[in-house]
Amino acid sequence: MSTIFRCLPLCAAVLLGACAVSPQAPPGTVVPDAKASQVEPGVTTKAQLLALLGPTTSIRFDSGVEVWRYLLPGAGAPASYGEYVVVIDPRGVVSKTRRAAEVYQVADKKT
Amino acid sequence: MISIRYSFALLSAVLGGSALAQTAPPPPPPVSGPVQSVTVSSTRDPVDKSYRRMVKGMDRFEREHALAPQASLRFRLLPRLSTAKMTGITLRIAGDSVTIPVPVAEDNSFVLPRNDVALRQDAAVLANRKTNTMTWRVSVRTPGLPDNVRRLGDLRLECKVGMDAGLISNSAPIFGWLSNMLTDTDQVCSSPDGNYLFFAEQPIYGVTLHYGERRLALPFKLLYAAGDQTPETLPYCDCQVLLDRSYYAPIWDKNWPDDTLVEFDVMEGTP
Repeated sequence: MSTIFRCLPLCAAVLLGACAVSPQAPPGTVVPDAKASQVEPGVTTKAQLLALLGPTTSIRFDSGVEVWRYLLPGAGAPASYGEYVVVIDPRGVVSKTRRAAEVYQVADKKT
Repeated sequence: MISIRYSFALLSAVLGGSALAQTAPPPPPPVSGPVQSVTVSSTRDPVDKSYRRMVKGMDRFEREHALAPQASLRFRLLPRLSTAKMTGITLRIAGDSVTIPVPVAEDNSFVLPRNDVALRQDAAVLANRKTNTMTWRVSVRTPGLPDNVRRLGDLRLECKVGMDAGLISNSAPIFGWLSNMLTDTDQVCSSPDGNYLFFAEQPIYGVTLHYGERRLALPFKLLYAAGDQTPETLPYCDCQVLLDRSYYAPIWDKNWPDDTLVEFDVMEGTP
């Protein structure tokens, strides 16, 4: 058997393994809605946000903008949750927030 | 989440050594007579786009136009690297004996003309840019919608045309069988794990589905290429410089009809 064909099962296993263990974003910090309401766009700084709601799932872009995602306790099924998303501008000040009491459930998505 | 593109890159990296070792030719015999010369006018970069594949995508658009009955089809070039110069791009269809210039609009979109000779000659679609500096997408847009709104049926058709057109590059042709498995149009466009990435016109921080009285926000994990890209994985994603505009639309979910509107919250006022 040629090298290439001996290698194929291994490679397939590596590929499938990588799919199975690909990193998932942390679930995010659950915060009470009332506490999230204290965040003020244009006023609240990143340090104040951290002190108020704590660290959570986030992403930083090359532009310097960061987006932090918190979870809001869901009003529906026990496992349901809403999202509170905060945009922090490159100066370190909250510029936008978005609250969704319910979000699209990607039940079948493996990753 | 591991993207299709990342999977290919990983597989290529794993297999690269073995494949090269296996296919390395033996050294040539000593030359005793006159050397024949062959002029090669052009070679196709493995990631240049195949004209035949792109026409196949156009055929798909015609067949499934009902998904977006008011829309027309364009292709579009997008930056992949921050250094990409996205002005003054020229594009041509290049076959063995035919070269057809393709006008590129200011937004770097274009309509690909049909040409039987180019089709027979298995022509390539070439831009005057290094291929790894740009990525390609389909643009199917129903007219009359605000800039921050897309229609789900348009996106469904974009996925199908984009996959048929071969806009997802595979740099390891030896594994065509595997790439076909991973890039089967119907699997990719009808599965939550299909991972066909869309790009909004501006950086976004929210996406909401609207249909009649129904409104539902997409979760964070459907934005920013799932939000789990790292400096190590990002170069393998064609979202490299468009990460803040990227999202997965639930094109697989038949509970949301084609007329569902997909509305973006954009990061106005941020760079």
